[in-house]
Amino acid sequence: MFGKLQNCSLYRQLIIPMFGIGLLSLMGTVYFANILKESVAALDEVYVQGDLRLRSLEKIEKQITGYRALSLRHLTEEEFSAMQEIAQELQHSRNAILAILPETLNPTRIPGHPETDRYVRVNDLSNRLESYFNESEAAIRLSNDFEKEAAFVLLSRIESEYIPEIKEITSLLIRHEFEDISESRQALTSAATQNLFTTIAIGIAGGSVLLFIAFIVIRNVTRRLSQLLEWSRIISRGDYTAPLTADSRDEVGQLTGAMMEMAENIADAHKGLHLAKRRAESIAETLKIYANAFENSGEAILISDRENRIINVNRAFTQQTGYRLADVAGKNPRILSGGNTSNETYHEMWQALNQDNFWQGELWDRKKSGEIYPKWAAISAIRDEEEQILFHIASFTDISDRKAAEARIEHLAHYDILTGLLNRFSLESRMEQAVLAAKRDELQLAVLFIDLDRFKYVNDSMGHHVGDQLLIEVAGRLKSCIRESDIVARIGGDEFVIVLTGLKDVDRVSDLAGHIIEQLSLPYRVEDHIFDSSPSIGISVYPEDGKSIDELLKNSDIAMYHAKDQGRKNFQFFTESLQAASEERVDFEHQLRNALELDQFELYYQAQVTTEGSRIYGMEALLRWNHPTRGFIPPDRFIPIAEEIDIINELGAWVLDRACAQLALWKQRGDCPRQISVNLSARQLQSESLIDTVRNAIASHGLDKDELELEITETAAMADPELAIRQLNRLSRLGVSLAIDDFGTGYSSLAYLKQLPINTLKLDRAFVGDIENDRNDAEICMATIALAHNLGLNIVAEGVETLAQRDFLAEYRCDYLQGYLFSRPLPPREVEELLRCSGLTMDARAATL
Amino acid sequence: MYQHSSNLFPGIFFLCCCLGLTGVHAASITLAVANSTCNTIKQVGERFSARHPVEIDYICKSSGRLAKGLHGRAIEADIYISANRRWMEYMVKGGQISADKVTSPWGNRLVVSAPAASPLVMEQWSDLVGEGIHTILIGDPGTAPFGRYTKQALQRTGLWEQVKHKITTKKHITLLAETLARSDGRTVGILFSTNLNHRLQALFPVDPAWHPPIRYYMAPIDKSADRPETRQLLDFILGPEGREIFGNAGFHVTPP
Repeated sequence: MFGKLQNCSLYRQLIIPMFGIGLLSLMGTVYFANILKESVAALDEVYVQGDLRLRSLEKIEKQITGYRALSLRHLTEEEFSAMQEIAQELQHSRNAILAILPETLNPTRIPGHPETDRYVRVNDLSNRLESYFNESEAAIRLSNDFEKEAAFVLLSRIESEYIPEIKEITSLLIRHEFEDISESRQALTSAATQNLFTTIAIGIAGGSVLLFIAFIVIRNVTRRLSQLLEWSRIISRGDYTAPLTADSRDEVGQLTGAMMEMAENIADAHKGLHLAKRRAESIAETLKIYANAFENSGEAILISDRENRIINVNRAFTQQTGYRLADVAGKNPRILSGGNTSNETYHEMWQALNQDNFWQGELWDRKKSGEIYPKWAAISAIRDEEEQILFHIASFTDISDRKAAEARIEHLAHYDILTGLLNRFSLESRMEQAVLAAKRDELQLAVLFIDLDRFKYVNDSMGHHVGDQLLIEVAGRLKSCIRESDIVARIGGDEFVIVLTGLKDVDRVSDLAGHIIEQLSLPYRVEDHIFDSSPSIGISVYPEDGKSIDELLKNSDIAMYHAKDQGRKNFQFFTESLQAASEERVDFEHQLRNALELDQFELYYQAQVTTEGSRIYGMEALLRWNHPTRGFIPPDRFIPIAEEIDIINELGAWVLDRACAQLALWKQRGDCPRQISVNLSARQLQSESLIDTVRNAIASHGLDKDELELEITETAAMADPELAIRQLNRLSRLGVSLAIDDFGTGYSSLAYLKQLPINTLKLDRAFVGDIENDRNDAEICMATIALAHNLGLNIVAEGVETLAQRDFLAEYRCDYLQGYLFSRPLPPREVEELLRCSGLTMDARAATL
Repeated sequence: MYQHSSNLFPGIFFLCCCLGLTGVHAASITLAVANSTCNTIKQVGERFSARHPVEIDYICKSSGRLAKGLHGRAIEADIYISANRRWMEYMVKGGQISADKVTSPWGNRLVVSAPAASPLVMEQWSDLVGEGIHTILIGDPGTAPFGRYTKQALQRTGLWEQVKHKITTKKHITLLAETLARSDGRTVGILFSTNLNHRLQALFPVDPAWHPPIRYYMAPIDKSADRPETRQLLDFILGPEGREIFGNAGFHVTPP
């Protein structure tokens, strides 16, 4: 093979492999760039499809909750015609759920992620739902036949059997959806990386082969030139018989032959002319080959003369730019310029061409169609023996696809996927530049730390999908509030940061913060939900509040927490006093720790009366902290802190003991309520020592066990249902009465409720307060009372303040009432007066007067 | 069914009276009674309290709701009176009442009724299907026995499916009587004859052959069965005076 190569010209020996290998590398690059583009498109598709299916799953969850509420309404309805209407609504709800189900399937299949499992799960969900609907229809039929009792029992069983499974499958589908999206993203990213490495490997391999061929050719030429030089020296010494063999037909071989001929027959002019003619023919042939190679090359090539006027372009050039030779001949190549390439680049290009005769780099040019596109250009300057430029050869590759893929990857690395704002990483790098600029120009810089109030509530109550839409809307409103030169980023959950650069006047920050609060507090509409949200904003200013990024972010965060403490929906500047406030919090904790020893806590009592006859039935003990300098501090201010610093169990034990002692005292003095109620916090319910504490309190004051009632909130009971069931069963075995407080405000599963050994439900004041005006609240009260009675439970309505509320609750047979209509919370001495005056019976009208 | 006597009774009663004198209150006793007997049993209770130092509390609800409340400990009482056999058996199975202490002293009848001013006339049972009657109020068959009996009568006579669309249920008989009294001229209610009052008129008596016999069942709750006041009150209710008051109120009193 090398023997054959030696017969070609040196130029062909070099240029053919170079073009061949270059062409192969180019094709490989184009092929893998195309795969990369497809990977990015597939990634987009994965996100969009995943998002759609997640929405469908969330919609199914909501519809099921609605279906359950309707079923319960049917069971509490007394009129046949009303029942028929509800039954129709149930049918619609059921059809709607079954219609959404197919939307949760993945229509596209990602390689390596078969959909079989999902089909099985969705089928499973579909089967469970159909069974649930079919069986619940039996309960509805019973209800239709006025067999409410049997219908309640059947529906409770069906709910216990199906609802936990349906919720589990739905949660599983949602979790797997997230996993699938993550796996697909990783697989596609991995494929893209592999493509990039493959492209680089092809380039390196091609370059290596080229170098190797160049090495072989040059070594061959120099070896033969050395032989020829040696031979020339011998001839110059007069020895014309020296042997010399022309072993190839390349330029060196031809030179050897010419010299042999010169040596053998210098005088023979005809022979010399003949040889010259043959050499000219050979060159013409070579030129023809070169012309063919130029015209048929896959790479766009442009040749310009020494004045840089275009003299030729090939077919690939026309395909790439749309220009034919006739369009550009004689013109300067700058007509191709798109105007997006910097002057520095052109300057660097001409400098390289002048010094090294070669330049390669990226140019932004314009096609004949007007489209601006990036291309990779390699330009050589060809010079004559006198170093004068003969012409320029430029070859171009269109790199639009590669640039687009790079831009997409760049975007993903620096921006928050959900909102499109800068992410934390980008924020920090942009802030570094902003701080340097502010330092250089001696200007100020403000950092606004923005946190949404009650975002967790929106997320928990309306679902993550609504939460995400809220964040997107907030991001849009924030962008509309600031200048182009300012920085806005989302750094986590519901936390945003705005950096105002080049500040001369700090007053502008207050105006802007006020404007942001105003904009973010306007109502939000996400699908069918319309709701309000608001921000709390903390502000730190460079250089007064910190010179480093970390310091500025930390101090704006502290200021934001101060804004939260100030009642949310406001902005606060960082001040030295906030650090002091942090220290004050430590002081507050210290005082709270000592308050028990200093006997600063007091118990107040509020009466619970029977609905029929308004007789005092029980007293609820309510904790107050009588602080020597701050006055009465309400429990919602110090109970969370007591839980945080872990003195809640000690404090709870004190409350239990004091309440039991009070009841024992009242019993000694005569008239006394039948029961005393004490609230347990969520943390107390988790305590292993709770049972001993309760047992000791009852025993040490000689109370009967059913004289003590413990109240836990619905939220505390449902936070960890397994633990709540275990602890409440232990308390129940002690004989104490148990009540669920604030019922209706949290999410209660009927199945769990039935497992709790409770005696009483306390209907939350939020529903009672608006009973007369809000039809929904009234229906919730009626349904809860019916539910409690069907489970054999007592029901106490809290917050009863008007006679109308009392009459409504009496009509629906609520067992007990509590509220300002009868008595406010009173200290023990006033309770005794109340008991003496009323003789255990309370006239509601008198109490209100 | 059950009659008892005990030699210990006078002694325990005496002991309790002595203890009562040292405390602030007279002894108290709580009756959980079916709504349809509420007014009548209160008359019996008043007469009993006039002669004995015992304070009586009344919990009047439907029999089923009372049984569930007692079973679930939401209601505490000493004596339970049910308007049908089913809920008394529920309590016996629940282990809170001994079967041998259950008595059935009274019966009752169902009657179709309308507001006193209503022009409606009913000549036969099947008039319920006619267009003249728009709404029929009955008790909740699940918890109120008078509703259960009504449903059985309607099913037995084949009218249930034809009149179902006119039916509205009420939780207990007092509520039904009150609602019916305030209703229009196209509404009727089916309730015990003993619960009629001057604001209601009887239109048509329901044939007792169309449903099981309407019997009331009374028994002490086991934990209170041995309290002297409980036994004394039970004896009084079942005695001549108690029977007389129930007889006057329209109940079918079984001879002792």
